[in-house]
Amino acid sequence: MTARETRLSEFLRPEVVSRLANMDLRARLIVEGFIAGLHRSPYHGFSVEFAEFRQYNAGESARNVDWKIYAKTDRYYVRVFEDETNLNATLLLDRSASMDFTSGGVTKLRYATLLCAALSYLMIRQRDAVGLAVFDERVETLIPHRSVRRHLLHLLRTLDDLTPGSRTAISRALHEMADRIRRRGLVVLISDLMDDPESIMNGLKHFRHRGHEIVIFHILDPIELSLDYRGEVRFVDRETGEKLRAQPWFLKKDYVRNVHDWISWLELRCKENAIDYNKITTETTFDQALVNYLNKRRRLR
Amino acid sequence: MNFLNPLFLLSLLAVAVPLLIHIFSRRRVPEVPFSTLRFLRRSDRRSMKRVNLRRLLLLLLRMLGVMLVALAFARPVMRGGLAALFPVAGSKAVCILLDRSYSMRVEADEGQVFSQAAVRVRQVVDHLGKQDEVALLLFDESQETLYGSERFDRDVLLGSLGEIVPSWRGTDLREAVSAGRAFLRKSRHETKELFIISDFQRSGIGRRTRVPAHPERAFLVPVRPGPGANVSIETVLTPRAALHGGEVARLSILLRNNAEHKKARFPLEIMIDGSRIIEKEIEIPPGGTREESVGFPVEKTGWIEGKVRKRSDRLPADDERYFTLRVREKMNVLLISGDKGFYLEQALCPGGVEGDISLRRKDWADFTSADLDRAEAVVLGPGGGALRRDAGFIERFVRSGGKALVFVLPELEPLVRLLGGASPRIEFRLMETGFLTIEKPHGRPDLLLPFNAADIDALVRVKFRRAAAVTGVPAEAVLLRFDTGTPFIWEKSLGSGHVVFTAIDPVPEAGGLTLSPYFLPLVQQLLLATGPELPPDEGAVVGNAVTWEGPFTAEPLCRMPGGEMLKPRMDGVRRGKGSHPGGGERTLLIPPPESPGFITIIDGQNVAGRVAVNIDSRKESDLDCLGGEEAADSLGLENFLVIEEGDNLAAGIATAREGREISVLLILAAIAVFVLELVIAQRKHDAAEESRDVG
Repeated sequence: MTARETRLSEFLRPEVVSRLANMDLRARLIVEGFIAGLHRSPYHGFSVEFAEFRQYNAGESARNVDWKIYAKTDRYYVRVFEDETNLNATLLLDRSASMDFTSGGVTKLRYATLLCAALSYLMIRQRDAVGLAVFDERVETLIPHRSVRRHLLHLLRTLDDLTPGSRTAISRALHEMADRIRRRGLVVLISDLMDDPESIMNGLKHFRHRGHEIVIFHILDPIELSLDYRGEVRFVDRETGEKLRAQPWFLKKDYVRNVHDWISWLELRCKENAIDYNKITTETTFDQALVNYLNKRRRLR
Repeated sequence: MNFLNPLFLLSLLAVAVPLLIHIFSRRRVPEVPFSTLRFLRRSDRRSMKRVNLRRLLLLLLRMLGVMLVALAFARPVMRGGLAALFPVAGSKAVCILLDRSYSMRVEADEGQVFSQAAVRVRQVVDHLGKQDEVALLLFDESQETLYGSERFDRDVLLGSLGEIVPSWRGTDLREAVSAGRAFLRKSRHETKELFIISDFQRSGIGRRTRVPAHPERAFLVPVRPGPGANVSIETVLTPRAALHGGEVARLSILLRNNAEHKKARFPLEIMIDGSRIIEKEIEIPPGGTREESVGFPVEKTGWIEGKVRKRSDRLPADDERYFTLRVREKMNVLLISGDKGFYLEQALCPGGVEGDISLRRKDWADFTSADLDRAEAVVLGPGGGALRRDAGFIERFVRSGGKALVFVLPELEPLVRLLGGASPRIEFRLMETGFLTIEKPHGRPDLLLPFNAADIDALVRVKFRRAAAVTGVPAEAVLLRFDTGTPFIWEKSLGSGHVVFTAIDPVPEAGGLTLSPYFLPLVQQLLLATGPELPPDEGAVVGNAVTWEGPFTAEPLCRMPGGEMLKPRMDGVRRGKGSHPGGGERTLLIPPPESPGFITIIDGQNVAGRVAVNIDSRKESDLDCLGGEEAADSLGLENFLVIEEGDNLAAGIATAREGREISVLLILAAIAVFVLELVIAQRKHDAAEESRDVG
């Protein structure tokens, strides 16, 4: 990674982005920064709109080589076209109380909101139709699919006003949305998946049954993976209010193993059902999340 | 098991401290919001039991450690099984040194400190057997064997102890220890024990000295006066010279506040012959002294007994101090003069009525040395010339302690030169015109005490037409001058006596003074108010021998402060072969008084003198006591055990004889427990670190 890319990547750090007041600006910073990074990165080639002619790199697909220019100049140039697909993308955002947790940086909900905004910005820029469903125990907000620029503003405003909800019932929301979305498309689930894994998988299978492609962004706080607390503490469950007095250093080993098993199980089941599973911590820069999305998008094209 | 410091068992309550910390820290666990407890709950069930067990183990170890430390401070003594390691001899020699100095009179909460010391003696005695050789030595600055026997009889010793009261002397602990060790050295027993029961006053021990190795085991049993202030009357100084009736006696009283932090405020009383004549409120800052000067007129003649006292504090022994004053009845004066001595005679004994002066007159022509026998002072007046022989008598009289008043006149010039020395140059002048006056003195010298300011103004206006002009007299010897600067009255010490010179010519033709009202008091003052300045008298000190010089007509007797009559020893040496009263002086050697009060010296039917006897309150009134260890170190004791006030004396003795104090073992055990606790805590810490690595 070059120094410039490093600097751009710095701008995509969640704590940097979250400092901006305007959601539109935040989404733009993420996406434009991300795209600017792409031009210098190995991902260059599946950009989202027509951009330019650029020199062919060895090992690259010859599909996009502009033969006319080759004829004129005897050099290989690649023509990058704007993507003209008309994909229906549905963003499912979990706003349950468990998402309102942080160990010091941004909360999981904040991270998810920013990611959601960036994806919306990116999708609308690609002329994809984007819909948004925000849920906790049930679907609270549902914005239908549109691909116009004005729709983006509506989405961003909705995301900006988002507050944490109550308990989680992901499977119920998934089933509800699977029934509502008629046209096949891409479903992006952004959640910490703090619910019964079996029922979550059932909900996801419902989408698959309807022919949807699914991308999961599993948002976790780093401390949820490490349980790195000192001294004796009393844990309070964000959703239930239940309290548990514990010595974290003593529980840590078992806890980490349990969480690891849970994630492994989710990964395995997603793989079995052709679901794209991405585990992201709130320390992860947004470009990595977007690359994951674009990989999926490319496969769909 | 016994405890030397059973009071420290109260510190076992500290065992509750780790428990309280444990409970308190459990209550202060911080609350941490967490996304879900699902995974924690699953782990918690398995591990919390182990955590709680470990925590309980740490708590128990901490409580055990604190308990061991608390027990160690109580100084437990193990006996039984361990006793076999310390075989006890069948019999032993024991010397008990009991401090009876005046500082043991301190009143503590439980009574006099000395009675506490006596209790300690009884406790020691309870542990002695009939085969033991025992001595009980009372000590202050000297030692007295109260009991000593090769076959110990407990009842006899305790019986004699019951009658003992503290003395009025200071302490010499070093000498007492030497005496005790000397007793033990003589004993045939192998086991030797020395008990020292004292308040261990710093002043009674002195500096540390090295002593040879000693076989005896020493037990230091301090009895403390406890905290509290003590104000002492250190000295009462009285005029050494005898006063005359109506004169003001001045006492100089030195008081000391021995408290370091507390201001002292109390009334101070002066008692004369049992009646209070002065009461003053005194305030002394912490650790400070106050020198108080009080004056009062004395009317009664003879020997006056007085007492300075303050309100009693914790050491009443230094709250009273005795003093004596001597007020002379009359002064025996011999006037030697010729026919011009009339006015002088009238001045000394106006109208033939004796006042403070008992006067005899002798003409120069009839004068013999025998005339000086009963005289205290001689006045050398005008009207005749002294022979060389007469001058010799008078000089010897003065040198042996007599007083002479010399009128500097032409006819007495050889005598003036003999008594006044070679340097004064004398010129006898008659003012053809004009006159002399006296220079006005600064302030009011003792000589002019009967004169008020108006009298002095009138006196300095008196005109002298004839007077001796004397030069060469040292300025400090001159009491009054003429306005020309030449001396009017001056004085000189000669041998043990005193000579006063005056340039007055006591006849009316010489000036206005002789017929003025000032002539009489001035001449009498020249005899009564002059004399050498003697250092003030402090009286005698308890425990110190007293000497008394004086003429005696019969075999003298002394009544000591306790009322005991005794015949003092006389040194038998006659001094002063002149014609001084009694034909010379003798020195009485009075044995040391043992209590404060008055020594009365009786000569036949008369009281020849009185001496005030007081304690030396500069020694121990500060109540500055050394700790047992420090005292042992200063005394050079090596094999010793300190049994403090709260300690069980029986347990202490048992410790030294047959038991073993296990404080050190307990401390070691406590250290081991704390180390174990640290190891377990460290393991917990390591586990935490390890789990952090896992994360």
